[in-house]
Amino acid sequence: MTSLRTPLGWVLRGMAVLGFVYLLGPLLVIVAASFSDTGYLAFPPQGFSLRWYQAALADQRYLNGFFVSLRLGLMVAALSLVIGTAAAVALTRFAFPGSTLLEALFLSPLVLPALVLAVALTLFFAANPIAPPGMTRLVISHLLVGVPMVLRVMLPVLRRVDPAIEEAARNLGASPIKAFFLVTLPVLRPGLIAAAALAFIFSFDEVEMALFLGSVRDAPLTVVLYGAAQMQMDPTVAAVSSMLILLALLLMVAQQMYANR
Amino acid sequence: MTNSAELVLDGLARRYGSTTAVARMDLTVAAGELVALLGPSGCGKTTTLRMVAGFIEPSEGRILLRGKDITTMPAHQRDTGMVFQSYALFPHLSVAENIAFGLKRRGVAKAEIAERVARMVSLLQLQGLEARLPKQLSGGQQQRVAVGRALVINPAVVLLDEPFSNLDALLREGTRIELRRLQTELGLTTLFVTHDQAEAMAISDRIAVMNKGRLEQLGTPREVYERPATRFVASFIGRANILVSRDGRSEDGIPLDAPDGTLVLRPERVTLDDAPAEGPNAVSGTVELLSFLGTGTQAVLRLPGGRQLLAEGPASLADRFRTGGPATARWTRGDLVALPPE
Amino acid sequence: MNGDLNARRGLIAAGLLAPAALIFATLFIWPQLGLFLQSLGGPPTFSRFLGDSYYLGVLGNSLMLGVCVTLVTLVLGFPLAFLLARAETRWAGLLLLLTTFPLWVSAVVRSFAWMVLFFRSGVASRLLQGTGLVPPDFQLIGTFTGVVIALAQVLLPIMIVTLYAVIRGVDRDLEHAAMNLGASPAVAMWLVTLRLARGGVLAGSLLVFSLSVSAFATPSLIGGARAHFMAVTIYEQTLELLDWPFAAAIAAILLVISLSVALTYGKLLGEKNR
Repeated sequence: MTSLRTPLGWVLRGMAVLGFVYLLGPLLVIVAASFSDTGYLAFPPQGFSLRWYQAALADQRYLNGFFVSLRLGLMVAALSLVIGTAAAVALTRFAFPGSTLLEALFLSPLVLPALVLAVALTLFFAANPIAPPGMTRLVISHLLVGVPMVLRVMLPVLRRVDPAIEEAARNLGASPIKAFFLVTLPVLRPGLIAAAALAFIFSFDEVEMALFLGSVRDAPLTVVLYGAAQMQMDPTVAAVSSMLILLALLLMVAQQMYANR
Repeated sequence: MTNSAELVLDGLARRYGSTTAVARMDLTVAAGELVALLGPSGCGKTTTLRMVAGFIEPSEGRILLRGKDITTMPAHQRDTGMVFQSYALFPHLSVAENIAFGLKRRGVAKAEIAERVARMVSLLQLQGLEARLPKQLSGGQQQRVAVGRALVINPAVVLLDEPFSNLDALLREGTRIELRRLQTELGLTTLFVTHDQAEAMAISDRIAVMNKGRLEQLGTPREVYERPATRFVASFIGRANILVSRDGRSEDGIPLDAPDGTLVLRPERVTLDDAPAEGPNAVSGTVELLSFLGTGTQAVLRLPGGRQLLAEGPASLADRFRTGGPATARWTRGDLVALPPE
Repeated sequence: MNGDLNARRGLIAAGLLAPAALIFATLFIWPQLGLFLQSLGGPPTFSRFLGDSYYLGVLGNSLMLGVCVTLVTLVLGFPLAFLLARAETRWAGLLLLLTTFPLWVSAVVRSFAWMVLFFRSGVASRLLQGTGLVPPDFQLIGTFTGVVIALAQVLLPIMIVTLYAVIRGVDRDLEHAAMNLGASPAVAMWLVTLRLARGGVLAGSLLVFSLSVSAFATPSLIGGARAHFMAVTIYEQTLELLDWPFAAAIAAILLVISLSVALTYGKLLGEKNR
């Protein structure tokens, strides 16, 4: 990299290092603070203890919130994957008028504020007499972002797959349905896993729609955390946050290892 | 070669709205014969091949394979083995699994699959690569897997869609000789799509030259080269000087000893010397370019009327003439091939 | 025969699209239209918003937040994206992965991390107190600066990912050609890479701008009770004051801002692909 052995290169590098510290530093701070042996949040941490983890795991609100979020994330991921992939197949394998427009419409929730979607849906459900209960309501609301996320991953994947492999399978004696399951689906699998992981983590992490549309009794973990963070600087929040960071790390590593296999 | 008709295209046509991709095509391929569909891109050759494979439905006409009408049969029930231009290897399956794919679909017993795959692997010299994934193979190896996958099922007809176009020049020549050897040995009936006339000439029993959806000429390589049926065929296959003769003169005034009509004069039939041009079938001009071809030398002669006349001769041409100098081109009546009137 | 086949294919396509289309029609188009109708019906909500200096201040605050966050992410994001896009080591992939890692962590968690640093005895606040430029009981929580710092960190990965893709798309040989013709590396980067990446830089900036103007979790947690931003106001109006028509009006204003930004964004990326 010859062009980087210049003053400009060093300036760029310095700023990049700064950027990295800025980006990841706070996450390390929270993990470090969670081990502090003090009754309040301290960074740099003083002493070492796991008592805030014990406190967090004993807290029914967090535990309940975690399982609500897990259920929510899994349902949103599964439904988004099926609905989004079906739409992606239609958009890439069938030519029809208005398909570009439809694609733009389907992707647009990704650049719209979640809060506006949440308000609009709150008003919509309030005006709707057959509104479903909290959890269902939140699941279908999350689909509004989960489906576009799956589409954003699957559209390029489907466009990259050589359509001739399906024809080759048929030429060799596989019926169209067999060809799909024997050839197309296995080839798409890494993309499908990535799409499902993204939809899951979106739904698991999301807080705006959850605040507006989730049920108060079965609040997702992010809502519980949001409430707790607002109230007091409680070290248990740091412990829960650290566990969530670890979970995100595991999920990302698993997804990467699968994709690079 | 037996003369039983293995594959018959009977008035086969395909239209898209008002555009005609393939116009009423009749073609019979005999058992064990290799027929090339040759033409520029967009001439309908690939559409024809895909109709035979069952990926495109014909607008009109019938396709008979071993006497059975397969015109409306779904692709997976047809007994064809296709080699795709992109190879279309299954990226998630190993070499052996790719080759075994068609056998498994046909419900062949496991032991027999293993045996036939092994035979194909050794026939195509893919030993040791059985467990590799397609992306771990070189382009030439991928091409051989694609061929093996199509041949192992013993199809009634093998369909080749530009199978050499993704190989570099050196590999391409060796591979096509190898494929021709395999095809003859196994007696495979083959339909072969290509835009490369040298490739078609080198390995085909017969060539079907197509242009703008029409079959222009069907014949052996020598027939289409020596007796082209149309002006398109004459200029698409090999190099040609085309002269339109009328009352003993070409359209640009070259004296000719030939009947009226369109005439084809192949460059290798033209001889060059430095004597003045006298009488018919001779013309003088200026040497514009001398290119050494290895097997000989090609000369481009600029005539006073503006025409560029091509001549090919021995390598020594380059010593006898120089660029910018004069030269006289000569030929005999027998060198002029008349095209049938259109 | 062809007609039948086309009809069947059309039916399959329609069947594949139906679930997504149903969700978008009932949960996207209808509610968004409802939002506009709700804000127009009843008391004159828009004039109330636009005629009140407090709410105009909220809008101004949010727009200012958008500008500041966009600038910070651009300045910090470009060097990182540039180096990652140009890196030839096998670490580059890992570094890119690390850059996108924060996107896997909830904005609530990431904002909480900043709260730890920003409260009165937090490291960042204490450092500032040490400079003597701020009063001894100063804390970054509740300040506009604090919100900018935290939100810029939350949105930085999005900027980097957008810029990375664009810079990767610029042929390196163009830079080499410029240098071969006598341009210094800095000039080559300015005249070639930055100019060619302009559309992507603008697209990334618009996206980050739109997301910051409408951000909720970070401004609410870091800004605390004094967080006068659009999204926080909408939240208060909807869930605390229950003034839905007014909340709908503010949301509609936010939606118009985001939609116009989104349309420009789509157009920019569309041009790049052409």
